[in-house]
Amino acid sequence: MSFAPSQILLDDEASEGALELPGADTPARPPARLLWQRVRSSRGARISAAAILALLLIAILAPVIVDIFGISGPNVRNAGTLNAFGLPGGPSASHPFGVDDHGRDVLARVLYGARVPLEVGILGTALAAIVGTAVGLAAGFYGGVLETVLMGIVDALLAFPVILLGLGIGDACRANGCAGGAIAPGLATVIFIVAVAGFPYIARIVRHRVRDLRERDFVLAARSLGASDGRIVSREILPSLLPALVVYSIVLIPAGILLEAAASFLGAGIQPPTADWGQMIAGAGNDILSGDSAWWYLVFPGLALVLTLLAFNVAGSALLGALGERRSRGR
Amino acid sequence: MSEPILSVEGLRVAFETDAGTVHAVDGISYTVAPGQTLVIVGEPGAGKTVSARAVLGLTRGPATRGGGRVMFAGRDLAALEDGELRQVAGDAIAMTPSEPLSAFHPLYRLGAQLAEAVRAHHAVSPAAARDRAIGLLELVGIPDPHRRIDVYPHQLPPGLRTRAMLALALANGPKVLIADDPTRGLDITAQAQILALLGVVQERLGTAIVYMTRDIAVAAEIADEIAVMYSGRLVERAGTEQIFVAPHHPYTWGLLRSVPHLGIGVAELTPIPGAPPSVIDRPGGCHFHPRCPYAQESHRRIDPQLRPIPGEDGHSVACLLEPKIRRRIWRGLEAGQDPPSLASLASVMPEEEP
Amino acid sequence: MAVYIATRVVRAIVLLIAVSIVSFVLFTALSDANPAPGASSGNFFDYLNAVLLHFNFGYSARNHQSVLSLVVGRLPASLSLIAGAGLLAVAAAIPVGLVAAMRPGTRFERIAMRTTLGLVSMPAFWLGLIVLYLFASDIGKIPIFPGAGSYVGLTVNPGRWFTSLILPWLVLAAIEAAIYTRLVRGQLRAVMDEDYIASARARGVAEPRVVWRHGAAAALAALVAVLGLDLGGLIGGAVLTETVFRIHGIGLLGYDAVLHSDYATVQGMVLLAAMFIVVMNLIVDIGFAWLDPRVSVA
Repeated sequence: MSFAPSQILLDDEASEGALELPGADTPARPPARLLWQRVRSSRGARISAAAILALLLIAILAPVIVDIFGISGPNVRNAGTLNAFGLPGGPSASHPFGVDDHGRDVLARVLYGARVPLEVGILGTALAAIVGTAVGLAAGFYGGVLETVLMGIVDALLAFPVILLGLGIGDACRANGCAGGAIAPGLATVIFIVAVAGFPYIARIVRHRVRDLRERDFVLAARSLGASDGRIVSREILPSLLPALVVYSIVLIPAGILLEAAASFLGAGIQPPTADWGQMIAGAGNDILSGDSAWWYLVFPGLALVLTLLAFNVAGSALLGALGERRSRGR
Repeated sequence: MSEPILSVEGLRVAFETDAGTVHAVDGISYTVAPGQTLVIVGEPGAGKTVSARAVLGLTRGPATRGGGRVMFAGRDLAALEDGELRQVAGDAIAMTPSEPLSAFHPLYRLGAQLAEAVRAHHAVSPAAARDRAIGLLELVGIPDPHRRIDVYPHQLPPGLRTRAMLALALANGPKVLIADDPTRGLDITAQAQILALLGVVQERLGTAIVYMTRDIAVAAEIADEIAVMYSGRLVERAGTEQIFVAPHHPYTWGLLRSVPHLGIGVAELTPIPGAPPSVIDRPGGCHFHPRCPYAQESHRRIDPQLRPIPGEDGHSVACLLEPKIRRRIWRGLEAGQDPPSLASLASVMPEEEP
Repeated sequence: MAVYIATRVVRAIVLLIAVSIVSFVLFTALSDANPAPGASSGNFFDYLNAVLLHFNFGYSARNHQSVLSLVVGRLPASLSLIAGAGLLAVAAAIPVGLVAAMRPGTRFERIAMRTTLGLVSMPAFWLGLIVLYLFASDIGKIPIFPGAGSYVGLTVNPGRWFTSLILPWLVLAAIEAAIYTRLVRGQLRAVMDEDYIASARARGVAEPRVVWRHGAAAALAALVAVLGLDLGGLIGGAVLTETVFRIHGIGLLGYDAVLHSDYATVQGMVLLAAMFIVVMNLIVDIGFAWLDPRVSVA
């Protein structure tokens, strides 16, 4: 299970802490323009970008698509689709992906099911990026006790296997929500989980870079001219941080989607009857394991999930390649 | 002077990068004879390191284009396959990088790496290789070699690392040593010791040395011949005395005028104006023209070649100025005068190189 | 070295405390549900006192057993799954990753990289269910291996222990191997760009020796450290695999606890897993220092 971006660990942790190799130099980071140029020239990046765009459209236009297909909505129990033993019917003209054990149309549920993963992946990661950047900036820029405390929290969070973190938070917030109702059960909880699990990665990367930048000439120059901390951060440090920040945030999105699906599968995330791929797979799994061979409502949501993760992973891999590739210098 | 042992002819190395083609080494030629020292002087980025690595094919790779010949013992090393080249590398021709620790693998002990260097070329027993390794550490003046042989490279005190790096390069008694600025970052005393050590080794083994440095003062101490490198090319090449007494290239003047205590009658230290050119968007014509106080309009278009200077044996320069004008300017600089104005030069300046 | 180990141990202890605090804040203080009985009585200091000084991780709401004893009882099953899948994954990833790194641009590299990217995108729980649907001896279309719920302990019946773990091992190992393969390849490629590799070539060391003795050795030493960092991922994958295959390990313990609103067990088990990782990372750190002599002086 790869929430994480071991690639991130490779790139940044490799030059930090226990892994600090004396004499290892930090490779120069390409400017945003060069990054964009490299990404555009990658076929994988173009295809995955198109796939992600299509996914977003499917999620937004799910009701329209359902209408076009002329199928019933995601929570409509279709009469007569279950046989005398209560077993669901397979793919047919009126239900292309078949129906599930409640007689609900699987295609409609797969289409609507794109909404939660994308919302959680994008919003959760955005939240993780914002919190992670703030924490990393504060720790890296001010150092001292603040840094020790913040990075202590970050390291502690990183010690938790993310799936168990999701299980724990999901379980704690499942009944009545969390933080005095600010985090309601369901969607908000899952977004919270993804943000909590993701921000430590961003924080570490940002802190690492900021510590590096803090001593660079252009920052020292700005400081010697009397620029305030806020101005140095917003004018000098954040802009040079931005390309890497965007890339690592995008790399975290599939991890967030996977975490959402896993938490929902384990019963600690999205609750029925909301259409959600992880939750659908859980339902199908129970039936499959009890000997029912209604493969369609296991296979279709799973394929949707795999293709979504693949699209984001290919995009992330292309972005990381563009960001990290050292300038060719022969062998 | 005896026959050259290494002869580099028109060596070129270009890298393809996202930002464009980097012409790191753009057709340089030199020779070096046994027991002689050639010092290649240039600013960082001039292409010294790449030219050093290119001799042993270390710059080869999918994004690299090479060219030219590297003649050694009747063979063109540039035309050899990697496998054949490795038989020469580290045996007859050795190389040292500029950062001592980067010569060593971080995870293996000193002795193992010295022994590996020996056994890569000679079928000797591990015990014999170890004895040889101890001998090498002694040769380069590392105290307590029996103990030092079992330490990891990073455990060596910084002062001994350069010596250990030399021991590794000298493992098989090379006929040619390509030294890429081995004294960079050393203080003046340590530098003098290393240079003296190189002298001793050279005398004992008859090694030809090609020494890259950014410091023309180092060249003054050890060079038999000096080549000045700028923007991937050699712009002036001459015997050491000629370079210091009668330099012909404005860049060489700049180097000499920016270093104290060379016994040259230059009145005051003057840095070279401007910065080294980009390796990707190189200036047209003479690469030095943007920084040259004597550049004419035509120098932006005409690319000077390294040519022998009439009447000065063994002295070549790539400059579009007339030899007698160059001599006059240098005499003036030596006497402490400011560079003459363009107008005063224009009257005697020919429009084009003949 | 002694100083290095001492600092690492102190760091690990501090981290254990930090992990306990984070666990309290996230799972108890933040939750609007009634506090669970036992360790997480809602009072921060009682909690720390119980967890850190008395190893009291609370009591299950279902059967009133201590969470610690529940988790310890489930450890053999989880360790069987994790160790077997981890070994399989590493054994597959090292050769594939090294060869892929050494032959850039070849068909082998392309296929390896695409396959691994596909597997990385594969949720363990879905792959597990598909594999069961296809191959489980009770419900599978091609019934060849024992399916869900067939797990028995090693000491009970070694033969059945092994056969019951074949499918879960393969599922978890396939996904982890994909991650590790990409790590190995990345490590070796980075190492081969190092100056000391060029220096070895300049000494005339033959290319196979440069790759294996100089490149692969350094890449694998670094890999040990990265695998330590990735342990959480392996444990997370094991939780999902256990749930699907009904293996009575800590993952299934957590799943059943969620199902029965047994807060104390979920929290205690999550905290124990994090503590386990802290301790394992300490061991990896010390092992890495032994592999890479530079670390202990840094």
